[in-house]
Amino acid sequence: MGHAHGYVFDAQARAYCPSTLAIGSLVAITPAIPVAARSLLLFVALIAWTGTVIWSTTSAARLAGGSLRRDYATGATLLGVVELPWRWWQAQLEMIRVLG
Amino acid sequence: MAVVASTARDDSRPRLTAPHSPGTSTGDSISTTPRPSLAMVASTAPSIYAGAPVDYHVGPAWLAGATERVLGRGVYAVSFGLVPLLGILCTAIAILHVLSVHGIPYRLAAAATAVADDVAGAAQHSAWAVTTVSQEAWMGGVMSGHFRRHDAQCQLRPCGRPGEPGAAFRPPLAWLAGCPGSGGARESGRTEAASSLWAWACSWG
Repeated sequence: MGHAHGYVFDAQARAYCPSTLAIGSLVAITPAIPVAARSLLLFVALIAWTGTVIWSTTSAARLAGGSLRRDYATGATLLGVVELPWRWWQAQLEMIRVLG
Repeated sequence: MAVVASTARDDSRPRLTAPHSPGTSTGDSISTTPRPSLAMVASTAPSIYAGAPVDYHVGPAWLAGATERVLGRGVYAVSFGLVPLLGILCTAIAILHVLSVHGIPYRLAAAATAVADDVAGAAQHSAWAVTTVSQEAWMGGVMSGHFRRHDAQCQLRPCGRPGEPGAAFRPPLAWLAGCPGSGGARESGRTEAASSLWAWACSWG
């Protein structure tokens, strides 16, 4: 298993999963939430999701840091570093293209 | 109960349009403040922003609408910036997580994730991104009314003049085209670069 390679996500790094599921579920039932509380609830959920994902990413990056100093992993790391802004860029442009 | 932001057109797909009147939210609509509303833009400048259907999950629209109602701003930042960024982060971590749980060494998992995201789509996205970036730069310039200065050079029609509703909608990447007030290329003194980008955008148009 992955454990044999000395790498596994800890609870902090895995926090992205329940938080994402939670906000996804909340958005799914949003129409059923009373209007008076809907916006505030969604806003708080968005803040909580943002914080959790950042917290989780921080841990994942820290765990990954020690494993990325050899052979092709360096290239993979560079690709990954490029990937995040690149994908964000693509997502934004795609939405602009669709909306425009 | 339909999960839509607004259904002003002929289909039932969700749309990112704000209601015409503030504070008239129904159980199914997202109410935002009326300032530079997308509905206003859609009604006055259909060639620029015609209230096109939102072809992605309506969740970002809900979250953006909630942010707008609570903070009075943030629709575009949430829709185009925060939610996509968080989604990408979650996707990347999830792929690594799944691969590592199934015994894939982290280095190989990282390489697979990076290659899958970067290389496989490169052939498609490179050409697409170049043209789309160009279009975005052009759109940002046009919507700000700033592009008129380059009409003669680029053979583009002017629209969205300053002060008109069409100019109120500023795409998140408007700074790339140096739109006024965006702190972009023009305001930072990189006028030549912005002009070159516009000219380049036109060549792709």
